[in-house]
Amino acid sequence: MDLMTWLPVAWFAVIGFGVLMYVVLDGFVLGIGILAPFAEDEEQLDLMMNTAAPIWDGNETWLVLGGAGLLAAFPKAYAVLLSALYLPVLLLVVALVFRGVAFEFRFKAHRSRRLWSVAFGLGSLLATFAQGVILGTLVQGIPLVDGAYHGGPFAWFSPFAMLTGAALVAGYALLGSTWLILKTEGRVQALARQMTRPLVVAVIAAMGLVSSWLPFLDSRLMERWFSDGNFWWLSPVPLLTLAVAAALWRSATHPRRDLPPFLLSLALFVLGFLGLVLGMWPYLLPPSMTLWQAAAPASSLGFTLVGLVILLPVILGYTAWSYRVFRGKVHADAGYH
Amino acid sequence: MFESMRETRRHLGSAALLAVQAALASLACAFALQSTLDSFARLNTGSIREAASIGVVGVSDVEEGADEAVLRADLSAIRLPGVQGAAVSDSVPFGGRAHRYGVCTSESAMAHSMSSGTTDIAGCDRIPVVTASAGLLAMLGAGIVLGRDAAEDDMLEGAPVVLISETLAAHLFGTESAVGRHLYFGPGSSRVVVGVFASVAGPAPGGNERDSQWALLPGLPMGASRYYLAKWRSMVDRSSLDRIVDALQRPYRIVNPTGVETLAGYRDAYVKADRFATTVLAVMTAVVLGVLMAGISGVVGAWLDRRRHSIAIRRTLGARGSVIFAEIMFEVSLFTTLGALLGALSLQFTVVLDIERCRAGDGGLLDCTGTPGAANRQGAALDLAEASFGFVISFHVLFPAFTIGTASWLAFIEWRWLRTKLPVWRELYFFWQKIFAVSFGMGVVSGIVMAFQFGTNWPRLSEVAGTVIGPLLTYEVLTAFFLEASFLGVMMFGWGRVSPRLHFLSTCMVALGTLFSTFWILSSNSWLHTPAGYEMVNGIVHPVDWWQVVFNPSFPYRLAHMALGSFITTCFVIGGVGAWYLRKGTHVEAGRRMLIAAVAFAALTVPVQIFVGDMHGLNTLKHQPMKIAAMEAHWHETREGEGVPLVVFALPNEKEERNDFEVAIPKLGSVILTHSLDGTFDPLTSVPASERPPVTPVFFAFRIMVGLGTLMLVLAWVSAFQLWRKKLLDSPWLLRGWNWMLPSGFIALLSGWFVTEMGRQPWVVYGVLRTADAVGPQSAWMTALSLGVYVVGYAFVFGWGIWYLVKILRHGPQPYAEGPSLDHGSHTPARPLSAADEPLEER
Repeated sequence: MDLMTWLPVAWFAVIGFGVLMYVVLDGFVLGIGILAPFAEDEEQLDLMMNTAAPIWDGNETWLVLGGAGLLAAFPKAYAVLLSALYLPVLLLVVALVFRGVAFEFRFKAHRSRRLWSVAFGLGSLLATFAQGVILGTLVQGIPLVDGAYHGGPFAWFSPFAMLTGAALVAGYALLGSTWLILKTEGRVQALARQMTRPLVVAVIAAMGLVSSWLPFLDSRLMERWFSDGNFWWLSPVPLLTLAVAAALWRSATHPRRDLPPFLLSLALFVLGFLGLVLGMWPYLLPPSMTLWQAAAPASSLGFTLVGLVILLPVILGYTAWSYRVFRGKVHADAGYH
Repeated sequence: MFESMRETRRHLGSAALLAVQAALASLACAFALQSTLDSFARLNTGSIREAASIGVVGVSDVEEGADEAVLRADLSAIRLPGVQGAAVSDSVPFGGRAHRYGVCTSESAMAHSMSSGTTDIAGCDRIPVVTASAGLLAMLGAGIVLGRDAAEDDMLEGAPVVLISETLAAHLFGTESAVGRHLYFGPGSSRVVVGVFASVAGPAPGGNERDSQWALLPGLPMGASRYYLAKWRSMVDRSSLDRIVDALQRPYRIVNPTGVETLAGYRDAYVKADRFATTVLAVMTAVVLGVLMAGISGVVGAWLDRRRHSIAIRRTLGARGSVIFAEIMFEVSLFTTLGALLGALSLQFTVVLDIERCRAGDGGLLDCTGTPGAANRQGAALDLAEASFGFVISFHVLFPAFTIGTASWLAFIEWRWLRTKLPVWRELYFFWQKIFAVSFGMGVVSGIVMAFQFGTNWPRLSEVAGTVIGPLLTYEVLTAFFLEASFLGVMMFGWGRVSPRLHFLSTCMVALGTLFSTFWILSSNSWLHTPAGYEMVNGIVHPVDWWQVVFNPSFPYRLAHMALGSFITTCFVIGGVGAWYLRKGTHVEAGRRMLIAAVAFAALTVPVQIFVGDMHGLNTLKHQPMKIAAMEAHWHETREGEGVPLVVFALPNEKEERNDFEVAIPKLGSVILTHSLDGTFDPLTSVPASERPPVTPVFFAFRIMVGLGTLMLVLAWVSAFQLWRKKLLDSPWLLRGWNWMLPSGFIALLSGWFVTEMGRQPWVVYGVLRTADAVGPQSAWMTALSLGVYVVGYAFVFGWGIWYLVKILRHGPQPYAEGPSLDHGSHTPARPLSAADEPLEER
């Protein structure tokens, strides 16, 4: 096969993988932030944040990889996407700034601690919402004229994008609550168990709403799903999703099983992501820019891919190691603070 | 009253904070008011008549490089039944997307304008120019008042003719007849004015009032975004628009097949979006004001809190509550009024500067009369994008540079601890770890902002050079960011959970990550200065030889200079803190070790840095001579054998192209830069003004950097000498010197950064892409909004961050207390030790 045919495909896979890693890894950290207002006191919030404190930084780096990778492999798409989504991206970045520094500052503060708790919660919520809006706008289609963005600065302000924003908030909150079930005990864990079932309902409802809206969008993104009897071939994806949701519902309140809820909500995200990619393929920016149109020259793609192939396994290796170092439950340590 | 004022001196810090808050509030308020008024004024202008009977279809060519002649013939041949007039144009009269050109009325004016780099001279102007086929004017209802309309032949043959609007004719030629006169678009390229048309009411191609002055070039725009406009006898309805689409379907791609509209619809959408934007702006203003007000009241509250003690004393001495209240209120209102005045003054200053710029044809936020109404949005968006990026990048260069040095310092301390097992090293380790964590956090978040700004504010840069910047950035993420982030967790939380050796390895990995990061980011930055190993294909950079791209000509010098700069910056912070403790007499043992390490390191590396800096300068002279000329404020060719003097001080005068109040040492410039007594290098005037970087900031920033470098060298060597005589710690002057030089590294770093980045102007990729061509389509207000958000957000976040850093420094290294059961079978991620997270603020 031609080099310029498969190189962009490989890159599409790499960026897809990076985004998926980001969504599931930073998803639960942002989820903790969304659940922060439900913490009964600052000590509970300490505990919740401590489950993620050693690893949040690495998790957020996947977003930077996604951004840098997009710039490297699909510079046209990067330029269009970010200038079309100027305001949501601005919101995302500022929210991430506040969320990020809250981790460092909150533990150094005393009188201003409350301030950084709020910054953590609000930053997480807004960052998640902005990500959902970005996703929704992308799925809805980005109008292009000769490869340049052609639409108003508020094109993202649409009912559909608002829905995806809200859906992602529910989704990340679910990841967060199941993570807390895994990593905590006692009252925080009880709280997390309480939150999980309603969140499962919310996520499934949101997924259903978004899916049924898709065929009516201008971008005709989901055409593949509903043409030529494809739906039957692809039906395992939604069916599996329902099965996973049911299992999650059952395991959420099981008193001794702490790991399955988290794994199942990860599976939910992977399936949703798969469904989306299946619909979008081969468009990078629906409805008009395919990944081949947006691709950088072969020399750029090849040079970076070599590094990726070598370094990505190493990165995954030491990331796994650092998770291993911090495995197990986090306690409300008596000597802590 | 006076007594209370005298006491205020002790609270000067909070008073200044109060004043700054008030200044920001008044600035934000006035600025937002101005832009909101501006937007509303613009929205309320009139509009084109009969806009509802003109249909607009966005079209683009089917394929790149399609046969141009065929397309031309096709476009001009489209004739539909019922169509009264049809035209192809490269911009719709709403939206402000027309290209601006500098034009002059005479050859000599053009030449003058080219050499001075401005259109702000008699007989020249910058105007929106629309390329459109014949028929556009008739369709818009812009009747011909003089001469003739564009003819079919003009556009097919590309005849050198131009039509101008009535207001432009009056502006350029006064009362004389414009027809038959020449209009120059560049040296040697002129067009004859064949007609003058009546100005169209309402937003014109440039998108604002002043742009009723515009010109039309007859022709058929190709390739780029275009619109096919047709006027129908009656109202345009959906079915007639569909017929246009059907007729066009064959040769062209319809950009948005379902979104065909009338001109009225186009305008409504534009106005609607703007109205919404204006409303959002107003709401944002309210929010920002609210935040600032909350900030002000917070500061006042904190002030009262701190003075509670003195208030209580005065009360016991018999002062009445109302008197004290009045005094405090007096002070508070005094400082807020001062601040508000400051804000108003700075706004006034900006407006005045802006008007100057507007006159110079560069465009400003406000128009030339200073009244709200017309704005040159493109120019303003560029300025703001530059300001925004400069602001973010300045923050970004400071914190990572500090963390690069601190990470290696941490590795050094931990190594000393493992080797000597002296408790003081462990204390120092935990102390610096806290400082590292806070500054690393700030560096990471500012880095995220910067990475996304490439896309939001500079999409053209990403498109043209993303093929090079992107891969280098990706390598930075892969080799550095993940390494830092993953091992940082272990380094911060893993003490006691992993073996000491593994912990030391984690610290080393973090330090290594910061160094990798330096390597890649400077490689991509250097490539922007000295691009190499690429070819241009269709206006896009295609990397050919990656070895040459990564190791581009200026990279080794820049890497060495910047890495040493980072180390030295950290070194002076370490030395400064150590000296501070020694002067205070607290944490003496830790302070002594910090100071001695800093003295030894500085005495060795500062001279190396000066040598590397000189090499870097020679390299720059070879590749970017204008940057050197600006650094030295070297305006004119010197006479044979005279050599170039070294300008010690001067006020560069860019208008007159000379230095005022110059103090110079003959021949020294030649000696430093060419290593010979009479060597020469290119002066600034060897290129037109438009190709020169801004001289004054580069000149002064360079002097600040060199001056600080010299001071550092003197301090380091004198201290090393005293250390050798074992008298360093008894010398209060040297301790004070180190104390005062604590921030010197940061200042030198920032000045150096300004020299190199501003010295690259007017290019963003040297010789490849101009800064002005790299901005995106976003409007000025949006860029202003993001700049505002960044300024307020950063002021908040970094303000607190620096506050915590100061607190950590005040607290100082603490004796190591064996942490509570860190790992009794249960895996508790605890902070390194309990004391590490003791809240730092006093309760």
